[in-house]
Amino acid sequence: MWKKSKLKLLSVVLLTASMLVTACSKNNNGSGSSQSASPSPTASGTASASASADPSPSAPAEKQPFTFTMNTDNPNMNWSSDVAKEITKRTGATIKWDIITGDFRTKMNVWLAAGDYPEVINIHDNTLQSYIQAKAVLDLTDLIKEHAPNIMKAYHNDLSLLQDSNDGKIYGLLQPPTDKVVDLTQKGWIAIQSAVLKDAGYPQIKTLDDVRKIVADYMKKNPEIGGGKTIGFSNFGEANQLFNNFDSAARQYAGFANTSGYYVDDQWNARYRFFEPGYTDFFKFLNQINKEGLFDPESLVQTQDQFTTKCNQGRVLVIFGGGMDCNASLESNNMADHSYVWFDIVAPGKTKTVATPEKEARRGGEMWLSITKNAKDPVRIIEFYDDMFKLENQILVGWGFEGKHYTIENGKRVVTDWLVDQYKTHPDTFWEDVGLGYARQMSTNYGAGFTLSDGDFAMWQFSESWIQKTTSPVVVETLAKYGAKTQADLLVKGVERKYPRTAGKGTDEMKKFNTEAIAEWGKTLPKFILEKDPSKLDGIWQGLEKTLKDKGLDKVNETATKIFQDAAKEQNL
Amino acid sequence: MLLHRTAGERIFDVILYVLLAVAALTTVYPFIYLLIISLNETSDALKGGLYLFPRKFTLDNYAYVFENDKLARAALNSVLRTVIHTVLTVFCCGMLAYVLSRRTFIFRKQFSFILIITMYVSGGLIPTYLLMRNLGLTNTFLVYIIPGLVSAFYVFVMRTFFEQLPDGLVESAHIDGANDFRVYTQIILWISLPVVSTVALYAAVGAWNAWFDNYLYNSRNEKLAVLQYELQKMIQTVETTNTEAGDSMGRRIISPLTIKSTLTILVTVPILLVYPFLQKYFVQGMTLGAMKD
Repeated sequence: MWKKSKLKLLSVVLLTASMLVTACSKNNNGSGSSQSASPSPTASGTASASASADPSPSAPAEKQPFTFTMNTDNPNMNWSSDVAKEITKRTGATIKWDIITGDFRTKMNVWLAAGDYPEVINIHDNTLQSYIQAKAVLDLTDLIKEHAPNIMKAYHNDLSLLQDSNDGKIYGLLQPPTDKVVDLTQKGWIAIQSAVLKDAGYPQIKTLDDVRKIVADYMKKNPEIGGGKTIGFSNFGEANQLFNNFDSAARQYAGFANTSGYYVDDQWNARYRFFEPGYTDFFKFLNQINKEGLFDPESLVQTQDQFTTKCNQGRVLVIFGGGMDCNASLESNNMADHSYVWFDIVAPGKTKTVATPEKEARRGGEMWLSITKNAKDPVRIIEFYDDMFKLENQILVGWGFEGKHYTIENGKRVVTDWLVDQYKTHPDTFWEDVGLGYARQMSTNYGAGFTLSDGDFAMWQFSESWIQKTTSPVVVETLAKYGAKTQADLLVKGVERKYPRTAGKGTDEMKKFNTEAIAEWGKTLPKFILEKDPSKLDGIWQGLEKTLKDKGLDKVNETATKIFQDAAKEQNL
Repeated sequence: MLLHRTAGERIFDVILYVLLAVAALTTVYPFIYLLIISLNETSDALKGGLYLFPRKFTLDNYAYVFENDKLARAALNSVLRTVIHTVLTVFCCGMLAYVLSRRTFIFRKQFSFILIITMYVSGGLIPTYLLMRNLGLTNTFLVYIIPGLVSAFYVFVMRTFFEQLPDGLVESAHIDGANDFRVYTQIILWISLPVVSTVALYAAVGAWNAWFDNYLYNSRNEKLAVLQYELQKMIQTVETTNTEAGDSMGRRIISPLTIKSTLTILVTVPILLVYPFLQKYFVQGMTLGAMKD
C-alpha cells in the first residue's frame, strides 16, 4: 500500500518535473530567440551608425526626430514642458520615460535579468557594476571620441574620470567637471533662533559660551513657548543618527576637515578622529550644559520626527550638528520670528581646516548615465548628449528660458519672481511643471555651486538670486545684523587643503570595524554627556579608546594611512 | 438567567468586557488617529499633540489628493481588478477544491502535495518576471488576474469545508443526472457560502491592496496603473519635496505625515465597506458547523 502510494507520488513528481522541463525548455527557446534577436538591434545599430556616418557632415540631417527610452525614479517626470519641447527642437530627440515607482535597484536588477532595460539608464554605481558584468551596457570610449567633441571639451580631453577601475573602459557619463565652485548653500553647524539673538541684542557669537549665555537668559525669561517647555540645545540621535549629528558637531567644533571618519595629518597619516585632541571638547560642553538644564537629553535617543515636532512648536532654541531646521513650517505657523540662523563656531585656539571643494563628480556617489545594449542607435544617442553638453543647452536645462525663468542683470543670471512664486505655490511638482527637472537625465546635475564655462552658476537653485529671494525676511534681517547676506557668509574662514580622493577604496575589514567602532562610540557618548563628575570624563573616553584598540584600531588606522598616502601619490598631492 | 449569576461570574464578565474594549480600541484607534491627522491643517499637524479631535479642521489634504487627475482611472482599474479577480479566484479555487475533496479522485493526495509545495516555495522574483514576460502578460491587464487565479491556501480552506459536506448530497445529484460541474456550480457553491465569502474577502482585500505586480510588470503602460500604485507615486513625490525643503519662505507646506494619513483613510474605507455584507456569512458559518452531525 505504502509502496504503491509512493510509486504514485513518484510518477506524479516525474510528470510535473517533465512538465516543468518542457516549460523551461520553452522558456529557453523564448529567451534563446530573444537572445538571438538581441544582436540584431546592435547590428541595426551599427548599420544605422554607418548610415548616419554618411550624412553626418551635413548638420541639418542630425536634427531628424528620434525617440529613445530612459528610466527615471521621478514619478512626475514628463516630456511635455516647454523646456522639453525646446530640447526636442534643438536636438530632434524625444525621451520616453520608463518610470520606476518603488524599489529602484530591484527593478533595475529584474530588468537586467530579463534584458528589459531601456535604451539609456540612469544608474547607481554598484548596480552599474552588475550591468557591466552582464555586458548590458556599451563601452562609450570610441563613441565619445568619434562623435562627441563637446563632451571631450567638457572633460578637458581627459576621460580618466569616467574610466572603469577594472578594465579602463567607459561605461557611462557623469556630470562634467567645473572650473570654479562657489557654494552659497553651505552653512554653519549650530542654528540659533532669531528670537533668542534679538532678545540678547544680536551679540557676537564667537564661542559656545556666547551661545550658552544667551540661551540661558532667554530660557529664564521664557520658560514656556507655545504652551510647551522651552528646550535649549537639541537634535535627534536615534540609532545611527546619534553618530551623524553629534560627531558632525564635534568634528566641526574641533576644526577638522570632513575626511570621512578620519583625521588626516600633514604626512597623510590617517587616524580615527575620535581620539584627536579637541574632539571631545564639544561633548564636554554638552556635559556641562546638561547639568544646567540647557541640553535636551532626549537628543540622544529621539527620532527625527520627534525632534521635528518639537522644532515645529518653536520650542528648540538651538540645533547643533547640522541637518535641517524647520523655518518653513515655523513660518506657516506664524512663528517666523523663531526662524533659525546657522553659525559656525570653532573651539578657541583651533584652526579650521576645510577640504578644497571637489570640482568634479563624486565617483561612486553620483549616478551614471549609460547606454545599454538595447539602444537602437547608440551613435544618435551620444550625439544627443554631446548636443546637451553645449553651453546654450546646459543653460536651458539648468535655468530654463531667459525672460520666463530667469533674466540677466549685470551680466548674471537672476531667477524671476514668477519662478519663485511657482515654487511656493506647488513645491511638489514644481521641477517637472516648469521643466527644470532634467539635469540628472542630461548628465548636467551640477553640484552645489558649480559654474558653467561662462563663469555663472550652472543651476538656478544654487544661485545668489534664488537663495536671496527664498530666504525669509526674519532670517535676512538677522543675517544683516551680522553683516551677512547668506548663511554661507557666517562661515569661519578656514585653511583650505586639498585631500586625495579615497571614495570607494575602503576595505571590507575597515567597514566592519567602522560599524563596530560607531556602535561602541554610541554606547560611550551618552555616559560621557550624562556623567555628573567632570573629572571622570577623560577616563570614560579612554575606556572607548581601549575597547577600540582591542578591536584592532591601530591596524585599521594603518590601512587607512596607506590608502590616503597611495591616493595622494597617485593624484600628485 | 441574569439574576442567577454569581458575583464571580459578574466580575469575570466585567473583566472580559474591559479587555475586549481595550482590544477593540487598540485596533480602531490607529484609524481614528489617521482620520484626525488627515482632517487637520498640515502645518498645524506638524506641531504634534493631536489625539482626539482635529485642532484646525480642513479638507485641504483630501483636496490635494483629488487634484491628481490620474486617480479616477487608477481607481477604476483597482475596482475592476478586485471584482474580476475575486469572482474568478473563488470560482477556480473552489473548482479545484471540489475535485480534491472527492474521495473518488485517485490523485487527490499527490495533487495536494504539489499544491502545498507552492505554499512554501515561490519561484523567486526574477524567474517569475521572466515567466510573465515570456507568457506575454507584461503590460497587460491580465497580469492582475491570471497569476493569482489559484492560490493553494484558498484551495485548502475550501477543500476542508467541502469535505465536511455530506457525501449523499453529491451522490443524489449524480443520480438525478447532474455532472460534477453542475454539482459544483449549482449545489456546492451555494451551500458553502460561508467559505466562499471568506475566500472572497481574502481575495478582494489582497487584490485591492496589491501594487507590486503593477510596479513589476505594468510600469510601462500608464493606463493600467492601479490606485495603490498612483498613491505610492504620490507619497514618493511628497517625500522628495519634503527633503528638498530648506528654509524658503511662504512655501506651501506639503507633508508626508498628513498626505499619508489621508491616503490610508481613502484606500481603507472602500474595502471596509465590503465587510458588513460578508460578515453575516461568517456568523452563519459558525452555526452551520455547530449543527452538523
